[in-house]
Amino acid sequence: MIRAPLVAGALALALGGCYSGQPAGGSGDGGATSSGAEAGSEASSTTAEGSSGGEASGGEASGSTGQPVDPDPLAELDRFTADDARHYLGTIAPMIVGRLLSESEHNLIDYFKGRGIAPVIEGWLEDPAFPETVRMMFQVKLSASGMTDEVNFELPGNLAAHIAREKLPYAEILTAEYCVDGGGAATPCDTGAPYAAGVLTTRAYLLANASRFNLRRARRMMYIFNCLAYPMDHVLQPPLEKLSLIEMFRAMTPDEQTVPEAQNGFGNGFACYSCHSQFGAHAQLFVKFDEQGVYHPEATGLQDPENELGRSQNGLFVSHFVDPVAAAQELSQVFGEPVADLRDAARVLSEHPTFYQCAARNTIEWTFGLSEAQASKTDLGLLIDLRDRLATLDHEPTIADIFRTTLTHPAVIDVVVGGG
Amino acid sequence: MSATIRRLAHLGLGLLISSLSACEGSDTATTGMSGVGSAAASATDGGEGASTGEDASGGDDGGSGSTGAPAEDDDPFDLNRENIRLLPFNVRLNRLSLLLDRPTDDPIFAVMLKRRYDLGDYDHAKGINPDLSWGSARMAAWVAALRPICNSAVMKERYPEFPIDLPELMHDAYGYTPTADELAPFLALFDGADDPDAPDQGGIDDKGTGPIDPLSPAARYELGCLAVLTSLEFVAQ
Repeated sequence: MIRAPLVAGALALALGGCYSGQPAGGSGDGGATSSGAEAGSEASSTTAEGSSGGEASGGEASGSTGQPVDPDPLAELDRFTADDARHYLGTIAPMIVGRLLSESEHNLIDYFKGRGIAPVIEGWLEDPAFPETVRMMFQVKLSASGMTDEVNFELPGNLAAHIAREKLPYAEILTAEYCVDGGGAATPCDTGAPYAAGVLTTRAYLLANASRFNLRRARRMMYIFNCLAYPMDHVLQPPLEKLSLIEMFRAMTPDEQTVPEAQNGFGNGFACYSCHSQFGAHAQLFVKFDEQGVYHPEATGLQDPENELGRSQNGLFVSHFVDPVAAAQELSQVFGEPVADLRDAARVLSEHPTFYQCAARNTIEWTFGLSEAQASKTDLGLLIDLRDRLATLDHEPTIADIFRTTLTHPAVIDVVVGGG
Repeated sequence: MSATIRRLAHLGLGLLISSLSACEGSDTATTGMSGVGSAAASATDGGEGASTGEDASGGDDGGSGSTGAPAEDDDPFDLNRENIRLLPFNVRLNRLSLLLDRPTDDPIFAVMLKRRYDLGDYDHAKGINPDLSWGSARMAAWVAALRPICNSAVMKERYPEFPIDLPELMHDAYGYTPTADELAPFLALFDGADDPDAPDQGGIDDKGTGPIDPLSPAARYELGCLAVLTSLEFVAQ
């Protein structure tokens, strides 16, 4: 007898079906035309009735008590056939659990058809392979894996896998006050900073993204976790005052550029202020981390006159601020909110609505093997809907919640099965 | 060109041709393609530069933040079906591991692990980024890493005889039972292999429809195994 995954079986019971875990009559390889499959169809409609007060559509119907009843959360999967479900799940299974569909998963699909997508994915999220998938996803996203004699580039992936395995809030990827060793145990992070901010305060992240003025550290942080690129909406990220910036970042036109080194269009053009008025606030958070990712409380953020533009002394990088007092501080602002340091900033990032939109986008990017440029074109409406669905949970979303919500969304399934 | 070579070329198995022709002393076809079946049909030659999903180089330059425009055809994102998306190395290795019911650190995978970076795996600490493009060098490395697996006792224990066990291998490797059409080009590799009346060799016409080359049973087995496990159904998403 084939045993269904426990979670899937529980889900089936919750749905009111009579799934036994046995083959529904189909081979699991083709269309479900057997009597067992028909029984699955009945189960689906019964479930819809049972949970929606008699409306198979799963709308917000009222039962005999007149009390509002939650819509059937899986009703939107009813329009997908068993073949749709098999095609969709077969496409994404290797990227989520590193394998093909199992026989018991085929049975679930035969029995529940489109609704089978939910319990199959639920089972994956309990699979020991899932945290390892999350590890890979973050290793790739953060360009951090492996080890050198000095730096453990596995720390970000360890934390991501730990958060997934222990079902901790996804926000801990930015807010965890600890790192995780190869054995899964908490360990101090390796920067020497007096605080921790998840993966951001690992030498792996800081070293992999070291660049002059700390631009890359700031840019990747905003892009990876909030899917935001510069320049941002000024309402979202108020620009710094022009006169607070060092001279080269004040220019809006070539004529305004008075710094010789920047007169050839240093960086991405002449309109420095439009981006650096926002960059500056975020780059400032890294001013005390040197190019090796080590924290230096004595960092000044000032240009080393003997070094290239953007480099301070001792392997540190230059602040955007012209005031020497401000340049040496970690104080800054993110999304208009004052922050004391990188840890404080990470909290603000993780509490912003774009954080979960971005997590959903990253899930799509990983699952479907998209490039970042391709993923950046993901429809904003879908991402907002995913974020809103996550917001209905009675707890802080976990990584499993994000995968579940994203991968069971009908619009996501439609992309693979071609419109359902 | 021999009939075997022509059939392999028809399957798009240029690399297998290269590797086997070296053994058999045959001439070499140079289609440069790999993979069979539906996925191969839509693949471009080599697929270098295909989207990898693993842009570790900070490829966010094209990003427009969360305000990105919708993908084409009203899909909320673009699967970019025209490009081959090779599965990450660890995923491919895991699939082989499950296929043979052996752990990924089993000696049978030693060559594959030794060549993991040739096969697209990553180690950022060593400056090696993931690369999931599917070009000729990667295909050659994949075939080379598969050969000890295909010739292993483990493989032959699970799938003792081709073409009899070929459908089962395809089923286990792809996750579905191949249709007759999908199976046909694979079975064609074995045409005449057991025909006692078939000429020993020679007699090949220009259309490649003549009797098959006198490949040894072991070479024929290896060929079938490599063909299945090099196909895009197995290595790509």
